[in-house]
Amino acid sequence: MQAAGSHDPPLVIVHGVAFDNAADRFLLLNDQLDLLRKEVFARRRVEAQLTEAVQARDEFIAIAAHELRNPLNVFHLSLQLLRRRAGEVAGVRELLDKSRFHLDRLHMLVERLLDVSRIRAGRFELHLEAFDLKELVAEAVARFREQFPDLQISAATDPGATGTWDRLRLDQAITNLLSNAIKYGDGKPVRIEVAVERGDAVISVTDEGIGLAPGDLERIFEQFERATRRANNDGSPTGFGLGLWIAQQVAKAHHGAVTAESELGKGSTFTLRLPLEPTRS
Amino acid sequence: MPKDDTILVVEDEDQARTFLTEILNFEGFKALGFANGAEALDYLRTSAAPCLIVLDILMPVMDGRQFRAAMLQQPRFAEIPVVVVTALDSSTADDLKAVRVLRKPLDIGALLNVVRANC
Repeated sequence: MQAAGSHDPPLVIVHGVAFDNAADRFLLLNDQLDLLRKEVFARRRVEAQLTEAVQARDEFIAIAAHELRNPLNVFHLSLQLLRRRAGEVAGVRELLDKSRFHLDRLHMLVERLLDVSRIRAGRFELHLEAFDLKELVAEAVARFREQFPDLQISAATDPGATGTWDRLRLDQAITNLLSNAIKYGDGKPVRIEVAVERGDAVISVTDEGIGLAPGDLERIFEQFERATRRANNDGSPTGFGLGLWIAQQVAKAHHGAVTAESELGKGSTFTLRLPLEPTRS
Repeated sequence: MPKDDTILVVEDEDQARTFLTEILNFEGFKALGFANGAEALDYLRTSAAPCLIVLDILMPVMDGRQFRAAMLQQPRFAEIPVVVVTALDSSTADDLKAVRVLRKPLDIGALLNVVRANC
């Protein structure tokens, strides 16, 4: 309180306005506190909405994965059974193989879309287990040989390529590299080699196809990028341009890397290098 | 518990179960299908141990997780190898102590490798 005629400074200055009336000061502070409380409440509401949205997104990814994979599984099994029953009936096996090829492509596209969603949501978790790369590579090569019976696909694995990785993710990365090698390999032989070097597994996939221009070597690892607009027989573009990006995310998650060497018109080698034990970075 | 060369396919999706059972039979194995864990458990209680169980996770009545828990509680069932086949991400099968986890759509070649290793 100021005495009349006093030149003492006011007790409270708010926004450059001086208040020397205690009741007014109290009311103003109360208003300020109210505003602050409302802002905190509004922020908490937004935070709750964001948390809910994130949960809804994660649930959607899980449901989409389940709902898409189950019918694909039935379709895939029916084709497998038909193929076995068809025996050597002329023309039937070829038709079934073509159906299988397109079904496998559809499956691959679905998985890549789901993976992009998961990776961007930060939900790319590794499920680590110990296994021999030789077995994984053999299974991947067997699948591609079944899809492309006229293509020469060879594999060579050094002994001792046993480590701790996420088996499904690594299978995905290797499948993506092989798929690319075949797609851009111009029908020429494809080779996959597994070596062990200084505590790393080194998986190289080589094709003798169209190769890449120097300017494309880094760009192709970005999402939705393709080195060429290579088309299907009906002119539609192939894939989403996600395979190499996903392979690189898998490598990074294991503290490894994917690199590429290529010569235009001669072919490419994509190398996936992973520590045998992923905890070592 | 006596063991034989039967493979149990525990999967609620009718066509997937039928097709997979037929494929395994075609490949020279003896496969039996069950629509949920409860049916498979009833079979186990009254029959010789199979050489392998192919197990889906999401099923009505008794799901794959409940079935596996029931198996592991009984010593004579705990030793039976299980391969989990699921449309979910593989991390969901971490606690099931499976010899292998395969994701749908099923890689038949990979499954047959596991079958040949156990049967």
